[in-house]
Amino acid sequence: MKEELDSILKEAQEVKNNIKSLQDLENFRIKFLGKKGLLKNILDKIVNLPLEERKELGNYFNFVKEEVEKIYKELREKLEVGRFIKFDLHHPGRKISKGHLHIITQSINKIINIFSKIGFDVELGREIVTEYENFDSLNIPPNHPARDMWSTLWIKSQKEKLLLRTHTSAHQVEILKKKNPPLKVIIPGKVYRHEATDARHEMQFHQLEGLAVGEGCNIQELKGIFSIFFEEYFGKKLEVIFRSSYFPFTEPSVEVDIECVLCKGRGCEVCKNSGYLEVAGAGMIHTFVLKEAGIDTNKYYGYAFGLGVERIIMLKYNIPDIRLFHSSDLRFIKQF
Amino acid sequence: MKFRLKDIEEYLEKKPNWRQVVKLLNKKSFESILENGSIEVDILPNRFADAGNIIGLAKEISALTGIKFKLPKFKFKEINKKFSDYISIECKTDKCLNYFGRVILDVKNDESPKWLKEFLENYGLNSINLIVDLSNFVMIKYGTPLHVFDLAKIEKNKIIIREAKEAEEFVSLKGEIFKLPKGSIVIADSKKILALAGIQGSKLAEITLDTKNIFVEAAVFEPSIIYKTSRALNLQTEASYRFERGVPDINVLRALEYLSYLVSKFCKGKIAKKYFQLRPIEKPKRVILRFAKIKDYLGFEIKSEYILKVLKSLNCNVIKKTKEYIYVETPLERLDLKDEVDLIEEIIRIYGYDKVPTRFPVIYKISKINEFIDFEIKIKNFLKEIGLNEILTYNFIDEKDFENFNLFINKNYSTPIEILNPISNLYKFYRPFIFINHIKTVEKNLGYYNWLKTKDIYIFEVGNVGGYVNNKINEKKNLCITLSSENLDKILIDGKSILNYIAESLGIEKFHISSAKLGTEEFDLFGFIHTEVEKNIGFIGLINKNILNKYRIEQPVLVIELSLDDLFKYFREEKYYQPIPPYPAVFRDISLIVPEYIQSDVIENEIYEVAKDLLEEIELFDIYQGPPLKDNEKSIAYHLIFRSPERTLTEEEINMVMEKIIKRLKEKFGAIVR
Ligand SMILES: [Zn+2]
Repeated sequence: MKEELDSILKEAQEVKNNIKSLQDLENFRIKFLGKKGLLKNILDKIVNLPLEERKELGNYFNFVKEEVEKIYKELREKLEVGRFIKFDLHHPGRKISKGHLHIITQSINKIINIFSKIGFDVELGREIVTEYENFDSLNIPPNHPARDMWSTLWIKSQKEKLLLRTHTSAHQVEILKKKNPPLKVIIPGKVYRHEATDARHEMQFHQLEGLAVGEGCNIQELKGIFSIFFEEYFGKKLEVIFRSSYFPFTEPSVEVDIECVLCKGRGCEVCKNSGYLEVAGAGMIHTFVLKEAGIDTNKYYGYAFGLGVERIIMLKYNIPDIRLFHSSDLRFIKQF
Repeated sequence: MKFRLKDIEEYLEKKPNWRQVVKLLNKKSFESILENGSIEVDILPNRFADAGNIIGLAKEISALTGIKFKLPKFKFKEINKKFSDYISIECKTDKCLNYFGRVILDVKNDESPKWLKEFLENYGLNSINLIVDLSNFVMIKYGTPLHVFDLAKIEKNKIIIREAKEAEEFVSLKGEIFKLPKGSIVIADSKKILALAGIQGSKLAEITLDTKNIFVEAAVFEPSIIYKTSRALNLQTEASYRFERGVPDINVLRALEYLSYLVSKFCKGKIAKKYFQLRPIEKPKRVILRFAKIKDYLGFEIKSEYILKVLKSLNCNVIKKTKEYIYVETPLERLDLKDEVDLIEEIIRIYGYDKVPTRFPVIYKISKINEFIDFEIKIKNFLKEIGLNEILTYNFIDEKDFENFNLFINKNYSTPIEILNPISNLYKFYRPFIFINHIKTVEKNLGYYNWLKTKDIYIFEVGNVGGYVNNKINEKKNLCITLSSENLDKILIDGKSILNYIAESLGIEKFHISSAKLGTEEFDLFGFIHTEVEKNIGFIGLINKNILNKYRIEQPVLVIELSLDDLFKYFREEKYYQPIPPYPAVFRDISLIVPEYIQSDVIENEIYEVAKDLLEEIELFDIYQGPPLKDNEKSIAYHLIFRSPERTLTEEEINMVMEKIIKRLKEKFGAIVR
């Protein structure tokens, strides 16, 4: 009977390698370990043996049984693990919602990065400023028609006259006073106008002010700054054109045009067939402003510029209506 | 302003190529377009004085093209009688900068001929009668508003130029009565106001077809006074528009002579001898133009011969030229040419901006990172990374918003910031907080449910807010996070999680919530947020249901608003290496039932006190209220992490500490340990 047990163990070890599925394993179990299986068969025989023999064979039987069970367990673990990892890789996955930064934040970050590469620091200012900061300090005296160039939202106040800044230029004198020349600074910020809104006009929008004072801050460099900036921002080289213009706080003053981003100068709907787009105002800082900041105009000169942030974003991303930016419409926000 | 080409051509020796002229004007002077027989020119505000008229524009075109400017000559006869036999003039204000006048007798006023009517129509003016029309004709040519009075309507033949008394009455041409602001300049006689200087004449001295003798006024008034008066009365006229922008007195005199000539020619008027003149003509301004300064501004040199040529084309009178500079007198009509920089602009624009090459910028130094902006960008990115969307709203709230949150706003500010001239009532106050705008944003975006396919609205915004505090404007930058969903538990737990996440991201140990209350007018749940040191850096609040109803929102809205300026103070980016602890930690959990009013902070402090240095960290991981607990009870559970820097802690040691903790909590708070 010991031989019988040996051959069972041998067979179990031999068939082990042929078991490839859970069904095979179940057949293995029934054959060796089942209620009517080979081992049970032998056990029935052993029970009927005399005590001495029974004891001796019983021990050996237990050994064989454990061995077979071990094989069974090993096989089961192997096969069942395989069953658990079964995963259809076509499963769509769970949706992890992605957040979005506002396109204005993204763009201002990008603009700051471009200017920081060419040596510009970044400054910020308050939105509520004095009449002096927004106008008088910039050579825009009271009761002068130049004031009409900016329709202003005034604030109820008891002492000095306060308003919501109509342009980031309101910080020019403050910053010129704070930083000693030579200096190169940009000031991004929200500005306000008392204006009826439509697809091209907003009561609240963003500007980028540029301010540079020192040796070499001349019209040639000003043109260079725009050339570099627009190439970096739009990702293509665009011709920069200066047209003579007027701002009270720059002299000379220019209007800055670039080749139309869309048609590259051939003429299209966006550029109203002119081939050019008006994108900024600029000029050499007026000596009035430099003097106001206590800067020696015999020694120093420099340029300033102002850029409409929404305007260039609209051109880059083909956005048709400026009011979308402050609409807080998530259908818009989630596109960027 | 729109000009007929033929009107300008009258003053040029040769007919120009108008397409070429438009190109040049656009680049070097003013935006302009050609449209059948006319040119529309957007005259810049500082050039309106000299170029906002036919002759001035012809001069500009002459300077740009090199075509010679010509002024047709005219002549008229004076009769023997002097003007002063008919009129006397007294000026009582220094706000009248100059004043000229002529007397013309026996005029025959009539309807205007067709050519004149057509001319005026082209320049947007109505025909009144021949004399008035001729005066407008001269204004368009010379840019100088003149005024004609009926001599018979001037009391005692005496004109007084003075400042108006408070609320003095003026009868306009239409017969309306205006109460004048004090200090307005008026032309008056002894009894009445004849004209509101620089703005409009009065009906009381108006020219009619019966007018026989006239007094023609040519004057210059202080521009800021005209601006002020015309705005105060909301009475803007062609004349006020021009006077506000300045009118050169030399042009005024030229125009007076031309109008006198025209009246004598077309109305058969007899011109009295000589004219009244208040002051001498203003002297030309003298300016030193340094070559070095031009080079500074431009970046390269322009030949001095070229500079001279440009100055001459602009009718500047060169007094002296050296190697370093040119000393020039600028033309009287160019009110904008006062300083060296004004002339530099002239040289550069005529030279042409298109000939200025671009140059790579000089870099003085590596640009400095603005730490606040850097911080702001970081915090926005943190929030974006966990799925929040950044929005921008208008920085205003309306009256209703203000009423809804009145109590809360008043706790933070003494007065709101009110806009004096709001665009509409929707934008009446500068916002005191951002969250109020966000409630509207939630309402709006729930309306887009069919597009967004979700009712979960997780948004944030960084922006300025403000109000008056002790009579001073307090403007600051806030961060507002707003969560709304149909699932209340979700937004409450997410709100707290986001706060933890912000704290961890910023290197702040932890935010504490204090005086969390239920049921205020504005919030169903509210707590101030503070750090270890700062008292109050913001709040978290669940918007009151009744208020949400007013905004037609049916799901809960949780808002968190923090002062970004304050957060910046705690932002710690510098990191230093900390040695990895040499001994392992021991973890224990503790779960208690305590009275509802006991705050977690207090329990945590107590645990720290008992465990002393062995407790490394304590983390609240569950708070529960509801069955089977009693109404005034809550269950609260913590993870405790023990560690010693000197040795491996034993189980027995920690068991003892745990027992002590439990004992203390029982004594102190009547806590039941589960
Ligand atoms: Zn185009």
